[in-house]
Amino acid sequence: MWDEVNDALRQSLGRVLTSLASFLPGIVAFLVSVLVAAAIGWLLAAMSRRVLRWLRFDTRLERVELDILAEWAPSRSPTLLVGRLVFWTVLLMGALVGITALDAAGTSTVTGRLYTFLPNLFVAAILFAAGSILARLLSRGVLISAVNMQLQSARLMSLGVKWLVLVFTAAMALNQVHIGGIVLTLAFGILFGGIVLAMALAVGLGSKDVVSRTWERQAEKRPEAAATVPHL
Amino acid sequence: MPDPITLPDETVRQIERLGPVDFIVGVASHNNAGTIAAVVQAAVAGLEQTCPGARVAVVQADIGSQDATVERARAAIGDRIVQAPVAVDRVTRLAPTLAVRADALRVVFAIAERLGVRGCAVLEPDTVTVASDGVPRLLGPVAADQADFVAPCYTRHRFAGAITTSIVYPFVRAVYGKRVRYPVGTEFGCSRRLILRYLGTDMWKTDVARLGIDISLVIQALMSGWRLAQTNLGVKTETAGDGLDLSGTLARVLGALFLEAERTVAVWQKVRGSEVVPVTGGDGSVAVEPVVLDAQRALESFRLGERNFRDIWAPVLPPLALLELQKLSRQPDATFRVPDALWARIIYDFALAYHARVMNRDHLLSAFTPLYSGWLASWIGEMQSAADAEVDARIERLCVRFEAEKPYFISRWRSPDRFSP
Repeated sequence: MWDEVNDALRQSLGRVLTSLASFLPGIVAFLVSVLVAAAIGWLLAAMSRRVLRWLRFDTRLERVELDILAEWAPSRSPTLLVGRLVFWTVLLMGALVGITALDAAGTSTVTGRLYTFLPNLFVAAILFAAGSILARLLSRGVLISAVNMQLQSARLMSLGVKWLVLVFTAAMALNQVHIGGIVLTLAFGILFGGIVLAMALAVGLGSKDVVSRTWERQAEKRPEAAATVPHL
Repeated sequence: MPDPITLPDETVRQIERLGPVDFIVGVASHNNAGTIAAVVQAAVAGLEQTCPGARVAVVQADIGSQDATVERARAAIGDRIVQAPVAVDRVTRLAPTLAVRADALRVVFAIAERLGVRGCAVLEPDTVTVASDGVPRLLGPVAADQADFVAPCYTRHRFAGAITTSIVYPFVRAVYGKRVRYPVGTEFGCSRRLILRYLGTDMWKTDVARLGIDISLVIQALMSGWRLAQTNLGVKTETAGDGLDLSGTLARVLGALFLEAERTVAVWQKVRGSEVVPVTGGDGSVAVEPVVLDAQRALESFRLGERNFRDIWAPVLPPLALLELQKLSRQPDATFRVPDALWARIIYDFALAYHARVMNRDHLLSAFTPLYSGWLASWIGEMQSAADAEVDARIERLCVRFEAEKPYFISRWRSPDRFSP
């Protein structure tokens, strides 16, 4: 009996070692692929940073109101952000090549799903970037207009607009990559409604002085002296 | 060269029927049926008084009037008028007259050129007193070949026209070196040579024309050696303005000034100091009704802006200026004063930020409003009980400060960077 146990153990060890041996080249190929991709990524990132600094990319973005990227970038530099994006993109591609090389039973399915997911991820990233830019522009416009109308809750209104747009954009981006489902829809609805209610209160409470002054003037038919003297 | 302007057939027939004319009065009208008849009659009377025996006429560019403006003008002076319609775009962000005033003036000048005039006075369509007394004063120096451009001078209350007093006059004087008191006047006189110069430029379809063609015309006249004069037109009839709120008016005027500064940078960077422009037509010392203003609302507007706009002003103003504004906002109401040096640099910094496009230009100019409110509050506090001579002296000190800070403006324009403390 011990001989049979010995045989069984020897056979199963052989099978495992054989599987490992057939799997090992794939692992080595994966590691090589990742290392090479990292090296190429590092090189390309360095080149892209150099080119963008030569083009004064950061300064040009500021001029066309796209410096929102600086708020998301390391050291507030969009150039560094682009460099890191280039590096991680190349590394990701190398990892995909390595995963394909593993030749495991389910890897082709994983890779296929990954390739299907990537375009949605790309669109979602663009959506979020565009939404961030729009949020900043709109919030600044609202702040300026509200202050010029002498509304005390100007900053609150501006923040409300900014977060409205950001929440809306984030919901669209997450929906694009099919994350969250019904939970996302509910959460978005609650958040959005809450922000709208807060803004309505801010507008109503913040403009009550303006409204009461207007009604007083109409009731007494007394225009303010400052308003009758032309400024130009 | 700009595209040649095409006049409607009826206008061309009127020009041919009228024949050559020596002097005209140009009017850009829009729904002025109540005053246009009196204005054109007074204008003709003024022209005949200025130039006895000369051939005179009125040129009316009508901006989409919905009332009987056109008919009443023709009925008032018969064939001594040439009328041309000016199309109004349905989608205009500004009041119709403002948005198409450039087109209207261009039509007036084009008709003047076809009539072969020697001089032209441009008037507002609703100020009868200016039409009767002002035409001889605006056209007199032109008819005597002593000036190519005659700017108006008005007698106004010390608090009226604060944007002109605090920004436009000092800025134009310091930058272009000519002491024209009212560079934003919509009434002026000009010679044929200058009309041809205006028609030959490409400014008519630019943004500056849409924002403030009158400023552009004045600045063109301040450059290139044109002979200048100013004339007193008496008490200014204060109209409803440009139909915009304070923020809109500031944005329009500043936008026009800064755009013109961009266009003419090669000229003004060489100008040093300023020259006096002679004033004719009396000394302008006419009493105006006193007005007592409360600076409280302006102060509140400034303080609210200072609290909320620090992030917006940060890329525009140097840190020292931001600190000064912070200290100002904490000053008691009674002693609130904006120093001239700080004010001059703020104007120049905004001009630089506009040129460098540090942010959306509309946002930049709208964010200026609380700063103007602060200056206005300071002005009211300082000048409420001052004598008239003190007011003039105070304005002169402000202008001298603008001229003294011009090297700062030039050096930052040539070497743009984010901060220059």
